[in-house]
Amino acid sequence: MAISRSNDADLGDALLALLAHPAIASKEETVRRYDHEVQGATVLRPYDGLFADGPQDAAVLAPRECGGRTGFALSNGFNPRYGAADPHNAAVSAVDEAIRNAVAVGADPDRIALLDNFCLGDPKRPETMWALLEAARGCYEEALAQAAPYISGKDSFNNEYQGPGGLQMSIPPSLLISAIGIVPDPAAVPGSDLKAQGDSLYLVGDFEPRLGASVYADRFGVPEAERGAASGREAVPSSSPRAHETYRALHGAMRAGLVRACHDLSDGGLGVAIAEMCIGGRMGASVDLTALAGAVPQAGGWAIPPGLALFGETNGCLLVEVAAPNKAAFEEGFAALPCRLVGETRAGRSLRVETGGGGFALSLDALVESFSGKRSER
Amino acid sequence: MRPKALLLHAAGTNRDEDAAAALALAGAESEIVHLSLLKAKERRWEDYRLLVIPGGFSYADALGAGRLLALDLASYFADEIAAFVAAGKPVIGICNGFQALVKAGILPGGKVKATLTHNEEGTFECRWVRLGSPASVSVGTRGLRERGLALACPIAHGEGRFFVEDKADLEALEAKGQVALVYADAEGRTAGGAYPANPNGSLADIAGICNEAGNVLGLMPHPENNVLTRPRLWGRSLETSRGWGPSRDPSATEACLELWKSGVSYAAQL
Repeated sequence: MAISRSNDADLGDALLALLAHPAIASKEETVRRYDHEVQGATVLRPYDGLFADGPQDAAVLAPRECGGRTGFALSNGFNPRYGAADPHNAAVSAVDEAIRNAVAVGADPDRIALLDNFCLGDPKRPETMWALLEAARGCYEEALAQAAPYISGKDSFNNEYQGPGGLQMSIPPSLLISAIGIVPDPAAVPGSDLKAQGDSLYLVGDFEPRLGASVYADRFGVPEAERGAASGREAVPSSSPRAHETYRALHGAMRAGLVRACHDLSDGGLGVAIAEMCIGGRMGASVDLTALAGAVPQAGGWAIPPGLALFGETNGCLLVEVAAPNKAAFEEGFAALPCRLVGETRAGRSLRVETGGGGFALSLDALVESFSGKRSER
Repeated sequence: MRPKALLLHAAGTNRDEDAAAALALAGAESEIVHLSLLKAKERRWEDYRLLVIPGGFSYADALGAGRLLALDLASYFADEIAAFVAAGKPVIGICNGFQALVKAGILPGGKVKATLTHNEEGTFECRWVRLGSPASVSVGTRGLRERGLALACPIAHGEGRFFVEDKADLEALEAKGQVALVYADAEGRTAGGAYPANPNGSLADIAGICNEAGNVLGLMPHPENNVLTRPRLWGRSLETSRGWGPSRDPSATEACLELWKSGVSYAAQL
């Protein structure tokens, strides 16, 4: 299914397929087999929300030693599809995603520290050494751009195996970045689950979607000509230059109590992010992709085809739920930063996506079933 | 005067400090005491007015969860615990502590044979549950009923399925008011065996029981893990926030504290 030729019903089917993709589908059953409540400090869990099945960007703990008044977020950024396509931008993306995830759950972007965890094949192989250098360069650049120090890390080489015909194979260059960030007000952690009807949904950050190494491409394949955003043809999202300022503005809005829910755009892009927010809060929403026309710095008209807008992957972006009375104050905080009203929460039990050509709607039950593989009971 | 609680620690206990934090909020002093100190008589049972057997994986769950700790209770300390219970001092066993009390025969006590066995789902599970407190003789849940509070807190166990073989035993427990806590659904109704409201397949949705005198309470869920920070509701009304996810209802936190306060105030007036 080539995305530019797809009709809107196909986009809906594709969203359900992405929710069931192993990179995105719920890992709740595995998480439940580990005690994530011991010490009584857990404020936000890997799966939280109304029915405890809404995926969260990070865990938040508020240790009793701090009386529960100060907390910290633990988050990760990792994408092996990116690593195989472009180890430099994969590293940039992993750093940004780890930081973005921490910020999404209330961490102060100026109080975040990182760990790097390199996993590659035999560094004596020239392309593996090249990937290591590229990844290290990406790590360095993005951490510097976001003023986040590395406090430790580790590496693992010679991750190789015998492939077909006894061929020596390497794993894709895989870089895991973990972040720890101070959450100054644990009670104000929003979570990714949508909370109330009639709220506004904002997309903050520079939206530069790429499809080349996306989960969509992994599932459906994408023709060469459609892999990049209108601004570029690269497979993997590059550094988002205003990310740090965007995160600061978002954190300010959180501290001011303006954010009811927040979720970052990562695997599966905007479509998967809004679907996961709907699942977590068992709340309907509508999103208008035509609001993103021109989001990419490209002159004139419809700059992003709906499939790219919905499933393209980008750094630096988050979806935010804001109550009507707080819209002006929220927008003010982003006066000089990218912030677009893209939708709202609604009474119906469905996710409606406007494409400019009729759009599509999916029931909450369908979203839950695709994501969790279980029948939705609510 | 703040009563002093004995927090029993065995190798593998992991919620001792959680319970100590809850006890502090409820107005008790507490001391985490390893079994070996009691065995060596470096600590004396009679110096404490409240006994808490916290959760964890005592003795690495060898031979079954709580079984070796139960041997300690039923052999080394049989007389001391019998005296503690007979004095009417409150005893609370949570999760692994509940398993140990049941496997030591201290709960439900009397002639009733009960056990806590592998969850019906067959795996360890960590999730939030809602609890109802039916009319019972338990001193621990009295405050909850008087104040109309309902507990919500996490479970984290693999062997929490309450079971009795003989139907008459269940009837006896119910008749004597020994069913202290039951799993409830999102609306606060008894779970009726439905997963995940009843997370482990417990018979009659039983989450906690007490002895006939009401001073020994055992429960699988962890009320010590819902006494601190809860995130705000963020515009979601409590009415529409009913689910089986983590509770954001401040009254559920209040209920968890109330359970601890009930035990502490009972101990204080002994």
